[in-house]
Amino acid sequence: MSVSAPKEKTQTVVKAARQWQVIVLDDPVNLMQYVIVVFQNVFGMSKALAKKHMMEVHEKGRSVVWTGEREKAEMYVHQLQANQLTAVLEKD
Amino acid sequence: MKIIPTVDKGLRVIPEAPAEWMLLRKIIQDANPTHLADRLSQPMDEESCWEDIVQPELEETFNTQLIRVADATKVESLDGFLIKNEHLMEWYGALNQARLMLENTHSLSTLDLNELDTFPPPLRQALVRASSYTRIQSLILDYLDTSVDETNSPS
Repeated sequence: MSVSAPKEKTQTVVKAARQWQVIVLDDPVNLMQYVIVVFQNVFGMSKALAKKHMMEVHEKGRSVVWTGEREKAEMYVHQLQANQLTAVLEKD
Repeated sequence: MKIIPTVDKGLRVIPEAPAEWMLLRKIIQDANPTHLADRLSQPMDEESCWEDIVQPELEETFNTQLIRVADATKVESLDGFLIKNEHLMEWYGALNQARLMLENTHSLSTLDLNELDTFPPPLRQALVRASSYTRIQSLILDYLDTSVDETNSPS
């Protein structure tokens, strides 16, 4: 009986690039209407979606407004901060 | 103070007393662009190089907003001054900076307004200014909203 050599198994594991979350934190100063306008301008959100995120910030103290690669996430944080919103980056 | 929409979608601001001009100039004194840029940048990690690259840009943006206010309120004209449509958000930002700093200094949002009479004068004055700034911001936002609605409405 011949014994064949065990077949080599190769497996490619595709690892997803680490995702980053852009999070907006609540503050007692920024007006609700303004936060909606900023979300619409920065992310191109519909008014309804922008309002949903604004309410989440208001009620829960934070809202994840975008998830993706770090470079783009940093760009969004910069834009939010330029509009005087408190925004941070967190690993997903 | 009168704030009147103009045909080219700007706003004409007409202060009607010296105190109202003073209030508008106080925006610049109440704001602190360096502090705000620093505070917003605090949570960013070292990897992002925020302190070296973004923070100075933020500070410059905030300074530009205050220069806009300073230029407009320099001369006390009977006709007031015009805020062009493209400068409305800069005005909003300047007012916001002032309110953020007043909140940072006095924690205005935590005060019990039923005890207003017991507050020291500087605190009461800060409350009045913050409230006036909010009122102007709301007018700007309402106006921007209306302008957008008019632009989007079917002809």
